[in-house]
Amino acid sequence: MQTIESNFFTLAFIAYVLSLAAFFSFFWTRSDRSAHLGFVLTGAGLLFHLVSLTARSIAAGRWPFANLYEFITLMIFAIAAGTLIIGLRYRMPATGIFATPLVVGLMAYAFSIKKAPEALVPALQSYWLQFHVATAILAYGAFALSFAIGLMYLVKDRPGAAETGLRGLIPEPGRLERLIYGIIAFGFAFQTLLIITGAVWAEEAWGTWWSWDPMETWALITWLVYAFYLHGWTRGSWRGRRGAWLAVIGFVVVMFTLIGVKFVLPGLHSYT
Amino acid sequence: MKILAKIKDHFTSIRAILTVLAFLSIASAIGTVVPQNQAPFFYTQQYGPTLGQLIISTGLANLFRSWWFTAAEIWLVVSLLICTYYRGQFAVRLSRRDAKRGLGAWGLTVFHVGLVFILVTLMFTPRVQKEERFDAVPGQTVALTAQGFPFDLQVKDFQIKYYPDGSPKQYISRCAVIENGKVTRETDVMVNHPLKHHGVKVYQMQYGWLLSGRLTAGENNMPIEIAAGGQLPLGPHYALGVRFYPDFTYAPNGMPTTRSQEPKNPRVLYILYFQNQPAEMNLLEMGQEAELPGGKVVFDRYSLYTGLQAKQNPALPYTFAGFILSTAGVLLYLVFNPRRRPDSGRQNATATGEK
Ligand code: HEM
Repeated sequence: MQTIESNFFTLAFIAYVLSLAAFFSFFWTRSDRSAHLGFVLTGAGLLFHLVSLTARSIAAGRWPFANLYEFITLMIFAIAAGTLIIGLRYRMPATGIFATPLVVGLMAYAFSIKKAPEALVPALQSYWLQFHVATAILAYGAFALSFAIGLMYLVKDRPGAAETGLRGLIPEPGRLERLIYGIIAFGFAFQTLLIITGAVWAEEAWGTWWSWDPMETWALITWLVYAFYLHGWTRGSWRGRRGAWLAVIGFVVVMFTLIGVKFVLPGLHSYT
Repeated sequence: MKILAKIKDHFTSIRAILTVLAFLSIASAIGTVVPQNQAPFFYTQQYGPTLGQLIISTGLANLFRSWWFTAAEIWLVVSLLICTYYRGQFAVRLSRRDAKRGLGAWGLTVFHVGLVFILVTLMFTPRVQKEERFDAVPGQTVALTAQGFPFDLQVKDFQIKYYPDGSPKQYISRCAVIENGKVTRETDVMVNHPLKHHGVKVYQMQYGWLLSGRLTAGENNMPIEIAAGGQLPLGPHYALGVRFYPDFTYAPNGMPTTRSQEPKNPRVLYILYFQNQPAEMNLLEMGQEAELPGGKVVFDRYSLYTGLQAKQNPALPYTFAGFILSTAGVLLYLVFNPRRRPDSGRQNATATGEK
């Protein structure tokens, strides 16, 4: 099982790297065939990735939900799947140019912290782990996509710039803006559930539903940033480039919550 | 009337709302960087006298309970209440026009009501909750009633379960609830499985080793008990500290260590302190005597003790009501998104109707 997991993980990595290459060739050549190939390769990566995750779950006898490595690979899976869905459904192959570098970068990071599945420490033995992590994947996956599309927006919507090069491949800003909003609203809903499931679990495990633990607090900060975005979008003037910048910043906060906090700030979370 | 309208405008103004959201995010971020709830001494030492004093006097040292953080939370609660009123009216109107999207708008309204419950209880919980940490060896009864809890607790047994590779799987304290002198319930308290009884929860928090033995000075014999990692004062100048290695071995660097928490090869390291300086230390087997200045010490028994925590939080049901409302609201919103229109044009419906 371990070798199946490992081999398919490598295959997935290769497929994602190739899909990135295909999308970059789409950027240079503007050939639809390259973009098409990019999506096919992303799909292949997802399949290999799924096999690898399944093998790991079988070997561990549990869902792959128990440490940062497992969480990051699940998040990559969500981002790649989201890229495929959004790219195809909204006919936006340019999404691949912006999202696949994120997929490959996170995959490289995952490789560097890869470890064999270990048994669950007592604090993680709870049904809430499943809900907590599942909502996190959906929330953070969505925020990652909104980040990629936010970048697209920033590239596209520059007053006075010519519609050439990369800019020519990106759909009109109005569509992007609504898409970012929709994705963030989706992510925000799951971020809310993430925080609530975490709080209920903390009440069972630590005896306090909220203790201002750094990880917890940063999840709240993420949530506040996106609450700011949503209210600024519907009722304020935080649309357009300002909104896109918020989408970018929001995801930086997400990544800090995930990766930065554990290096910089000590806390209660047993996720390592 | 005018004043009321002004107040309403203030608390529903999007600028004010955004300012408070930004303020709370930045303040929270600072609260994760500046260590919280330390002794004043800590800040003056870590940050120097001037900056240290400033951190204490501005409330940054106790940020999440400072008056200004609380004020921002209260502002948000007032705003949420007023907005919820208008959101509710909006949801009613929308429901008349379009039942499905109306449900989505109700979802958002219910979600905001849930937030009110959560925020209010977040502020109240530390002020109304009672908690008590205690250590107990099997057989010991802890008089929780003396602390105002409705029952006493007897620890019957404590065990650590291991995975085949030796890592801990679960910590289990067998506990009996004692009411009016009678055992009314017996159950296991484990990590993630607190004991719940009459609004009180008892949690498995930690564990440790208790070492028992004797001090002898001439004809005199005194029984002693020291928790591993702790110290026993012996008169004005001396203290006796102990470490315990249940499965003793030497680490590659030559220091004593333990392979696991299972007592397969127990050793005690005693450290005699003279005026807080280690003066003498030695590794002992169980039952082996050691000479101290003026006497002898021997450790002949070790036992696991369990660290438990009792908690009573009368605000908890309201917090959970908030969780349920927010969850239900968010799910309704996800399914019947009020902004998802068939024509997917630009939407400008606002709850307060201004714009
Ligand atoms: C704790 C912070 C808050 C969070 C996380 C939050 C979250 C949300 C979310 C997710 C939406 C849906 C966004 C949309 O459909 O555009 C929303 C809408 C709304 N929220 Fe909040 N909210 C918060 C605080 C407030 C406060 C304090 C008010 C008080 C004025 C408020 C008033 C509204 C209104 C009026 C809407 C509807 C917007 C519209 O229909 O245009 N929210 N909120």
